[in-house]
Amino acid sequence: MSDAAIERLESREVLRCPVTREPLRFDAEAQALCSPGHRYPVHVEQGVPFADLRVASSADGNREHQRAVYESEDSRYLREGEGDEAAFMRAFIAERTRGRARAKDRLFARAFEGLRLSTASRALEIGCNDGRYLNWLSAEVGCRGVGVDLSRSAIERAARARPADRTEFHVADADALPLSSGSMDAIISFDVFEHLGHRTFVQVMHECARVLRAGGRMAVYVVSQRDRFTLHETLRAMTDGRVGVDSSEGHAFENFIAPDFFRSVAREAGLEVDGVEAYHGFWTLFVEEELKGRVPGALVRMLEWLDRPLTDREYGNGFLACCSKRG
Amino acid sequence: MLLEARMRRRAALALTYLKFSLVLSVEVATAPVIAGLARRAESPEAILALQNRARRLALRWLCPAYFERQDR
Repeated sequence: MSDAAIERLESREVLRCPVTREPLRFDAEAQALCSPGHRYPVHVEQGVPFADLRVASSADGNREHQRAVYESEDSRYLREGEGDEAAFMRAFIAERTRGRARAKDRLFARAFEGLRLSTASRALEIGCNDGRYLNWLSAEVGCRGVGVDLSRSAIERAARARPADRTEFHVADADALPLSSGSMDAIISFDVFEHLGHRTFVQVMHECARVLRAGGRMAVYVVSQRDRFTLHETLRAMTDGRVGVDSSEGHAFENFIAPDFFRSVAREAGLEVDGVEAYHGFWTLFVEEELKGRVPGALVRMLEWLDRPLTDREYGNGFLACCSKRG
Repeated sequence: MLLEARMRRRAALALTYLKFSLVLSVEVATAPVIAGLARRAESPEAILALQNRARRLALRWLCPAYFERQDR
């Protein structure tokens, strides 16, 4: 590996060995090493370097299943942008920065504002997949970004689709983040934590608290266990489970997270929950899933209003939680 | 024949839109009542459950083909 490629690895100052949390040095044989001797391969995809910083011993059944789901040919993420991933990414970001976003993305846009980032800030995305949300955040506020995902093919895609050199991506486990403590101003993670299993979720929240600086903020969207009156659950009940269970991406109810459970885990990890906003009740989910979001914004807002009796009581297919680390 | 099939499809789609508009109108008209009841009720979940039962009926009426397999 050339020195020039390593030079381009802007995040190397905050990258750490996920086992010992020692700083990493990069050698000419395309390896990242820590002083006790752990070695991690470094790859280059279309001129963009990324490291595979997974902990070898951490593989479990759930994790392997998730990796298989996101690396399979059936993955919608693999199909999206097929052919010209960079053009897909540019269009994705352009639409959202112009405000042309699906209802759920408008929720994320509000969360981005709450992170209070500047061009000097650095944000982490956990489970970044092809990096679309981190790239969008970086385009909105000009911050630097580090994305991690356990799928190597997702990170290769992220490297190929990267629109600017403000973002970098690495293969890593969410419960052993290869980053120095207090190095991140913000963390985002959308539709990821419900895949982890509750035990790993608790570990990941502690890792988030570790890598966030004091006063840093976090915005996560997770699929909720409090989904009793949502469209999915209604259809499931009406069809004896035949319709309404979104299992194609490794979703399992026991891994979903209830808002109160999220609050208690966050508190235990040293994070303050500033707000929880349930979303995707009955009608908003109907629009996104059945009408594919192709409806006027005014109608979406009306349907959001119809869902208020549900979402006010935190009934929703998912919820956005905004946290901060105590200063 | 082809024209007739196309006409039938369009008529079915128009009927679905009409039904959907009617369901949505009822939803909008009753929303403040539901919200008010849910606010005041000792158990808001009971109100939401009742509303959900009505929504199930509406879904069955909107797209009966969707649930045919289960009914057989």
